[in-house]
Amino acid sequence: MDCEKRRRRLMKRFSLFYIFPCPLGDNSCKIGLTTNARIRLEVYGMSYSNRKHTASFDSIYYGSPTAIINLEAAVKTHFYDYIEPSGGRTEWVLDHSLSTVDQQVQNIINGHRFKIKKLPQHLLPLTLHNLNEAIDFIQKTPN
Amino acid sequence: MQQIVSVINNTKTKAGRKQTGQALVKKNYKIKFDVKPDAIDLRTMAENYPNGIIPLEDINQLLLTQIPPRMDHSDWDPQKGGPQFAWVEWSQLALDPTFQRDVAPNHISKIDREFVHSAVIVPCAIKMTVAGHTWYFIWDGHHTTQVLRLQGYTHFPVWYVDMDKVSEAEIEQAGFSIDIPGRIKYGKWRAGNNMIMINSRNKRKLAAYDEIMIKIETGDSKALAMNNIVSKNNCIFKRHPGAPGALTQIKSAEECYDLTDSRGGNEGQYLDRALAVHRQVWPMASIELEIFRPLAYLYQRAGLEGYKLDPQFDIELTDLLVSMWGDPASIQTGIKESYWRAYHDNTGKGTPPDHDKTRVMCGLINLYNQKIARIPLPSSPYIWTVKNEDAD
Repeated sequence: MDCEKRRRRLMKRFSLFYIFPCPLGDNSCKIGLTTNARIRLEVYGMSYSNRKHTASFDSIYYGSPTAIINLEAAVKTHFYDYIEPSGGRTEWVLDHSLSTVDQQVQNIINGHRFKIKKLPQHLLPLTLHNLNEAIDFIQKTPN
Repeated sequence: MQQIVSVINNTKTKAGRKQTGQALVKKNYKIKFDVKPDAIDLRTMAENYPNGIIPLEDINQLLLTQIPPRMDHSDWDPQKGGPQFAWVEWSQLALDPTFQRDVAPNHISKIDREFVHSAVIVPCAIKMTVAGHTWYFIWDGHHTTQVLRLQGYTHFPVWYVDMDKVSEAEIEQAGFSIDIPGRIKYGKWRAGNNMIMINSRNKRKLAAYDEIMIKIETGDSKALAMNNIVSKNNCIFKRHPGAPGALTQIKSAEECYDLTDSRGGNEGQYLDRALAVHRQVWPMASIELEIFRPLAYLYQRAGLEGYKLDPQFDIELTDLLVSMWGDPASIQTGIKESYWRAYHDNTGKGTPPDHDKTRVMCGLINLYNQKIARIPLPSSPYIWTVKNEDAD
């Protein structure tokens, strides 16, 4: 099986929970989950010129799809009062920096004992350029 | 006025309702509480008031953030056919079966047994003159009225609409003629619709959460005992899950509270231990039904059958569960998935359980026996190899 097929197969067994700050500098973060980081990064990247902004996930957690879905629900419940209710913007946590959201996500994972791991710092921020490297890492260190 | 207009505009969407509700709470209240379409958390709201007394107007303002305010106010003037109250003699009360259900003697008996004079919901009726006799036709509360008669009442409370005073315009608008037969038909139609609306469409069943909170706050001994166990374990009864330690499966918690030991006593001990384990292992999670309930049943079975489950057992079992699945929701889902795989592949032995609580309890026993087996456990009626279907 070639590398690309192997990576696609692996990502069916894993979901990613990502956090990134507002690219325009607002004190807010986008949180979300994906089973296909490549497409998600491509979509987020298309809104800006690549010369000015490269879409990236500044913090990434990985685990089984069920665990990641449960994590997202727990995070959204925790930040309920800071999440914009308007349609299409329900993944934005307002008035919180990347580091505070990330720290709280870590606390939630520990408090629920979610079987979820954080992608190490040397693979962050995750972009289209280092995505394959990250997937290979996940394959080598599954839960 | 400006504020009301903006509220009206914002109640059109779910997002708008959340926004306006939250904004009002943030602006006016020190202690925050949930404002959602299915429930406004009045108990937390009450903490903002001296003595916990909330003026109804404040609740009404919050309601306006969740529902569009009514623009048309129907005519409630008794002189124009609006409803009014009266004490009515027995001989004036009647029933028209076209807009009432059959009478149930056993239901009357049940109300009669628990009857208290201060807990009577006023029966509803339409007042009509038929063949020269004025009657109050009951369309809601017939059983209550019969119980009042059994209790010796000579006059009966009635909330009624006088059909003779309903305007011709209203009758015509509903599609009936304005002569006497038309007026009677309109009265029956109105009563039938009201009966269905009150007893079927708009009946809001008392939620288990509301029931337990009322019982706690009014001093019911069993509810207080349950609440002591729940509070001791740093849990809290809640309507919705989400908060750490939130216990939403209240009827099931009561079921576990009722589990007794071999002498038929010590209620609550198994619920207590199950909640303690849950909170210790998963401190930020809401209480998961198919974790605490199977644990409580397992503890009880062990007790009844003479097996001693020491504290080390809880540590061994939960460490194993966490290492395999992690969080409590994934654990119970994982055990059930494993069960169904064995069931469909026909690889299990014994009698398959017919309820999730028993499936998970069997899964816990099987898993412990397969991976640890330090101490003996009660036998599992259905044995299969429990594994994480995602990982294996």
